[in-house]
Amino acid sequence: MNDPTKDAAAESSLSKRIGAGLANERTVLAWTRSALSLAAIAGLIAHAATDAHAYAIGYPLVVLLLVGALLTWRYGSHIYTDNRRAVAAGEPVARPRALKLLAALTTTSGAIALTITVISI
Amino acid sequence: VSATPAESGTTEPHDAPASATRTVNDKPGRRRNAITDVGTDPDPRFTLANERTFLAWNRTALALIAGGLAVAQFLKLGLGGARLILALPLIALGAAMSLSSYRRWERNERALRLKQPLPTSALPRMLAYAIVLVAIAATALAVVEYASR
Repeated sequence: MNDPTKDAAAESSLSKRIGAGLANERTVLAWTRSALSLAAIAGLIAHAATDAHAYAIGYPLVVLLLVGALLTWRYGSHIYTDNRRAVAAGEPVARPRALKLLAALTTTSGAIALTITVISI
Repeated sequence: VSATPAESGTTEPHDAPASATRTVNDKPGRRRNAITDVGTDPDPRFTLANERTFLAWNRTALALIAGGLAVAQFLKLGLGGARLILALPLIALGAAMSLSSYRRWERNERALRLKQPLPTSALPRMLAYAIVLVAIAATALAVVEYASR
């Protein structure tokens, strides 16, 4: 006969792994959406720079934001596999440096947006 | 799939420590940083939920910035500079919010690792108030615009 405590333990471990897998997937989708938002801001800043004839300052910043968006998207796909490995190995999945970088990139895009809006007055 | 500390340490250059157990934070080979040295590793689902919460705040900041830019670029009003009354606060709010989003993540992660209750924050309420203010300003602008036609 099966040992009921063993069955319960196996089931809880399975649901935990499935839960971690789905949480991982939602997290990757959240990274992808962040990348799309960054790309949208890059587009809006390109429009603003064109409008203000601020090509020399504006376009390099647009390229910077697009590269940031691309890296954010790529990073999302990277952490999908890496989180699976980390969860299986019992390692923590916290990534403080990457989050700090994304926050810094967002603040930078805000500063660029403020500057270009004031310039175009 | 298990890797020796030496292997995983060289193949995975990112924040997660190269090798760890759930209880020993100073095990040799485990990459150290300020936050994962505190307390014990929580259930990974909680860390992932915290990360998504950070990303959601950060995306709210991005949406505010994008909204402000869109107002500045595409809103045509009789009073030329009036759109800036909406655009500049929206962008500034977004920039300020992304500044605070990382700090929130770190506070939450610390509480998770120490098995303490999650810290409260005034930020959701502030955001709601700010959005109400922007909505009132937008309504006022629309009314003035309609009346001056």
